[in-house]
Amino acid sequence: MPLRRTPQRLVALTAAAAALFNYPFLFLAAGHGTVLGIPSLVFYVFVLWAAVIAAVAVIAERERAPPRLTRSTPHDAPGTRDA
Amino acid sequence: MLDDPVIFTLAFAYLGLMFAVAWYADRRADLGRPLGRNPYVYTLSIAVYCTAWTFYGSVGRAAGGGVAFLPIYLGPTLMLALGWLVLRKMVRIAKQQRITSIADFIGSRYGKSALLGGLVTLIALVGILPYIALQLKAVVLSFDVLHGQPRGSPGAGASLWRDSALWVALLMAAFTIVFGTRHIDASERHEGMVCAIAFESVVKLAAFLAAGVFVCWTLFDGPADIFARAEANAALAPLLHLDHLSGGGWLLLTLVSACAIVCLPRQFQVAVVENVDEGHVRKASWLFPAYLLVINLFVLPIAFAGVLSYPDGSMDPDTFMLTLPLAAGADALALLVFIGGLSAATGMLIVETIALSTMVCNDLVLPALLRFGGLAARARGDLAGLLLGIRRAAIVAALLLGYIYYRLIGESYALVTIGLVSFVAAAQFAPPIIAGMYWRGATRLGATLGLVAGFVTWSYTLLLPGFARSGWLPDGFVEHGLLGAAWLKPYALFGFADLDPIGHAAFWSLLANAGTLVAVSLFSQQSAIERVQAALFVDPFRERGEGGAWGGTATVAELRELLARFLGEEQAERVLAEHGHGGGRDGDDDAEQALIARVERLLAGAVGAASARVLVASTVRGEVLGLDHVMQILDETSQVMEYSRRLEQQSRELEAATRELRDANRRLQELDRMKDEFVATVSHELRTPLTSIRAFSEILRDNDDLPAEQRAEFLAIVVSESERLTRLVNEILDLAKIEAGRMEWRVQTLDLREPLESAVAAVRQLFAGGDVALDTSLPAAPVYVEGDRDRLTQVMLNLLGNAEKFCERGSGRVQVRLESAGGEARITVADNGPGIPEDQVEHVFERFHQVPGLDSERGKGTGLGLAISHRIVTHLGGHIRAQSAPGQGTTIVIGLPVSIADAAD
Repeated sequence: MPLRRTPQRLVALTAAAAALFNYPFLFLAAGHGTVLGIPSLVFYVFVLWAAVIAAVAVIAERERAPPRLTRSTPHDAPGTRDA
Repeated sequence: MLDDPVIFTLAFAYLGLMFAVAWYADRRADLGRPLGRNPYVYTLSIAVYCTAWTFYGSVGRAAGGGVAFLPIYLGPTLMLALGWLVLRKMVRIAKQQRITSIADFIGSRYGKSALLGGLVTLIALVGILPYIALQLKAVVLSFDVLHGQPRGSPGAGASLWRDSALWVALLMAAFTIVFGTRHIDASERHEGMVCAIAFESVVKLAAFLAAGVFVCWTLFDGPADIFARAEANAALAPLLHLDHLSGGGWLLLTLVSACAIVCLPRQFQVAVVENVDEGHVRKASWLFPAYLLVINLFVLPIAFAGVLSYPDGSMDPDTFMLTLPLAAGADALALLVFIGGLSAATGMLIVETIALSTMVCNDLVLPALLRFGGLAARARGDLAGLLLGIRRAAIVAALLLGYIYYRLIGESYALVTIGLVSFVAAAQFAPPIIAGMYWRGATRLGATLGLVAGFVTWSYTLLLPGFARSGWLPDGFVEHGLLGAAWLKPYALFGFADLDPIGHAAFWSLLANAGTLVAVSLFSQQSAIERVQAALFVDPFRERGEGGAWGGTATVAELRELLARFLGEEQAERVLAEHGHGGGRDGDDDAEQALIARVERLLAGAVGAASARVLVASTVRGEVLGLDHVMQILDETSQVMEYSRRLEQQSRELEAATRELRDANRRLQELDRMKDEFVATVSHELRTPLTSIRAFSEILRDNDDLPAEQRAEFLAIVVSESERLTRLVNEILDLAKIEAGRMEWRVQTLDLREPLESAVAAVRQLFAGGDVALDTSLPAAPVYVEGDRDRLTQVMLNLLGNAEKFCERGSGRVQVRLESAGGEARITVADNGPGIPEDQVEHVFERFHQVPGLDSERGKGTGLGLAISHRIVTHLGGHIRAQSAPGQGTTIVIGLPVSIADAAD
């Protein structure tokens, strides 16, 4: 069974995004004036949002590549070949 | 202001266009060239999530709360990020179980329970009514604004428009009926509907973006300008900061929205039931959040622009999308926005009511009819028609109920608040679904009581206070708590008043729901069918064999009748033909178990799992194997099987280990034996020359009177035996070094002719003395191999020495040939001596092997020469073998790989 890490990556990403979208980080993002004319809070939320979407896209679409098979190396029986 | 005819014509034209899209898509699907089976249409169909609420309500909420509208879209983003895990699993389960709705899903999971399915349907119906009312309100609102009643209140005295909501509701009902319930086979996918929804998703996105661009860059000087002015505005400035936001409310709203994206009946319909390929979930998991991001880009600018334009609050913020373009004279844009909003509302109403009608039909009405109306026993009749009739009635009923809710309550709430009431209701489905998919132990009783607890809490904290506020209930309990108990205040249960009503209700209702589910599940028993279904839902990715748990019998004709009644004659015939009972054959025969199971699954696709089970049970006669009994057997069997599988595996592993050990042991014993033999042989071989040296030396010592010539002869023997001893010791050392891997090799590319020639030159004198002819045949061109010159010379000396030793004097003849062919250099040393018996040939390369009866008059060999040669050649990557037969001489052939540099030439 090849080891598949896509589920783990998606769960970790979702957890991270859930934290970043919530209060302590919003508080940190707010009140820093404007970025490109956009209030820092609004800018933070939308840029983070776009980044999360991009990350999901990268992780989910990567799995399309054929999974690499991890095969155990053939076990060489120790032996002598004395005639 | 726009004229009624223009608005109406446009609205009808647009609805007609949507219908045309649906019709065309259905037609293409019938022709086998479906339009909508790709991840993009799938993604756009999920975008039915963005309703008129998004369209108008987001702006309204943003105007009053800044970024507070965003959790409604961030929640789905998070849920979709897990889509590849959660949503795909739901899709897989739904396909395996032929799930038709969310009520069916939950009912199926908990033992195909009709009660639970009905409960979910009821909750959905009650919970979604506000949402339907919201769409009606939004459409009416947009009509009113276009028509010139900017306040958008239907009660403001315009009697003509007073009941426009009713007309909208009826129109939508007609439209939905035509859209969604045309097919007789209710279990099939609504290809046309999905394509129409995808189409309307594009339209509403385009309309929203158009309005956003217009407001930002035509009315103002870009978003930065709007934000800068908002910052300067006393009412708006706080919205850009967090002072007004509650962290808990934000978190809960995110959670509720994340649940809603899969638990709203219409989202379940498009994302799960209508999914054709679970691979589409992958693309949707990021493309749909991207859609949400784009459609929300302009919400804040438009909201702030609206507040800036109407600072006195004279305009309902929910209408900014329309009023801003209208005020600027952009009538065409206002019409486009109107179409976008209509589009969003229509899409939602169609899918929602189709989903609801399926649930009402399959999980509420049919089970009731089956239980109380004797439907199963009724004489043959067109039940497919009955199903459609129920669904159509349900659509009309849902829309009319939505209208009534709107009339009762719609005027006192903003759009978003109404929608959130529904969200919290839909979120009640999340605990039983999530627990059902990931926890085998969740029981039907737990799920049922959990849903009841959640629903009751939701009703008490959101629904009833809403009625009270609108004056339809005495509002005393809102202010002072039920029966005057302060801790029962709907908006501040247990005195907890720090959250807004939505967050407050979400927290308590979900807590009650999930808590009850877990607690009751831990203390209640699952029935057999629950355990079967739990296993199927928790682990849907495992391959399973077909087959149902029907132990009784039913005739083919009975099953045919059952199928025909619910799916039509044509499909019944097709199914039976696939099982080899086509054309009315074998009518009186007992149907095989696989066919009975197939019929149950097909019926499940049309009428839901619970009803299907009852229907099939009504035809299956006789010894229906009790499911509990089957489960018991299965449980025991599977445990025993698992046990024996493990035992088998362990014993296989043991066997393998034993075999390896045995092999290793045998090899060790063999080595030990060989070592003993070696020591014995070496001692023996060393003793022979030593003995003779000692004997002759003693003779010489003790007999001073020996004749001089005899003395010389004896001395010669001593010298020759000493030489032999030396040679023997040298060879033993060589062999030991090679075998211990301590031999020093100087491997280089060399011309094989050189060691051959030097060996031949060295033995020429020996051959001449022994009167044996020596022919050499070397190629003209060099033959390069990778080898050690000295070792190869040693090999040749060994072979030539042996050959000479065993040849007859005078007639003896040894031929040495070197040739290169097929990437291999081959050295042949052939003599015409007495040859070796066949059974000895394979042993000549063993240590100390001496061919018995083949003593040469020129002294015995050491018995190590060929053994050393064999090891040298093998080490250099070549092979050596002997060919011989008594009386025919002996030929030794050495093959060595030609050096790669040479082979490439």
